Amino acid sequence: MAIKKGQNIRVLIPFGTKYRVVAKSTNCTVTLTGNTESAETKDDVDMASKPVITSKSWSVQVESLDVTDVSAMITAISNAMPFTLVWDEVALTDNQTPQAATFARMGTAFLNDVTFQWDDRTNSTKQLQFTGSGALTKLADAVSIDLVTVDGAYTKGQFVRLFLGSDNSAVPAKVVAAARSLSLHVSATLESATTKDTEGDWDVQSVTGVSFDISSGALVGSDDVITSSVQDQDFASLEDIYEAAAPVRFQIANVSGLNNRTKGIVICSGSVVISQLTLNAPNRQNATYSATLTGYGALKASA
Amino acid sequence: MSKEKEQEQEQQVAIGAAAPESPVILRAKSREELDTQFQELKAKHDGKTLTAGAVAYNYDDRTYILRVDII
Repeated sequence: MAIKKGQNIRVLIPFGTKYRVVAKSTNCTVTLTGNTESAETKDDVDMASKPVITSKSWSVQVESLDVTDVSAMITAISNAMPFTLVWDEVALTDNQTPQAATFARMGTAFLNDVTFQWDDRTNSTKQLQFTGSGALTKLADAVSIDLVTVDGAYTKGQFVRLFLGSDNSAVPAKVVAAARSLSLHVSATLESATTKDTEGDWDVQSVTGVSFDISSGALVGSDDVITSSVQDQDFASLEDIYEAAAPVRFQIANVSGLNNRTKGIVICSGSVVISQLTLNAPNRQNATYSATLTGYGALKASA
Repeated sequence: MSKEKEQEQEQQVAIGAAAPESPVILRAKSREELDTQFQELKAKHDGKTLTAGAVAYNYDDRTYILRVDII
């Protein structure tokens, strides 16, 4: 038996009337779950368990090194519309052309979780999670593919930074100083919409809300560490924002120039509250802090 | 698959495709040139919202790449 390799099993998402593989993906996970309920009763004369599958659900996770589509993903998750998702074996020649393998399946799913990670001196990553809504079907024929042009383009995390204001009105101009990590997490809350009208055992979902949060990690520095014309936020100023307990505006933007502080094209923006600040000061190591910023209102996929 | 199911699937494909509209891919040899191209595109589509992702650097041909979606 020829063992399949991970690169030859891929998730495909709709693109026009065709499908595309998730570009630059590094991993995909398909989880089929049988939701069980115990059917043991006093009539059973032994001690054995008797799980009965009362409903079935499925989810798909994809990891990728492509972070050029942040705005498209924000739009997609905010639209709260279902996608038709496919997973299939792909041809060895291009790792893209679907083969209609016996294990290939198609189903309707919601994009319900997106995480972008921009860490210093690291290739940026994207994680997508799709949750199935309704039945999976076997593929009689392979879906039509729109081939993705393969290139060697990647984004290093130090070129995307968080700018945070001190209030909720002015355009945020202060960069988080001595930052090392940044992640944006957008999540759609799904609630079961399965009823007695639903055919089969499959769970059906509907979106009931969309939220986002941002995590930022940095070194605890003094004011004279960085010399740049761009002002910054540090642990002390974030403490002030936390104590004020009011929303502040933020932007996540592409950066360049001196100390990677020149704000370029803005990727997304909105308002956040600081919901957690953690200072970590281990013996004979750099002191660090992390901030969790919870979205207040809509996340805009633009400035 | 029944005809009704097929139609439902086709509709869902269309909905999925409608979310990320056809993107414009900008390529430039420098960040400044990329920013200029973005501003020119913005001026060309006055009144519409332009959204952009993270800038990627192509190590093969040494160009900067920016995906822009026009909404």
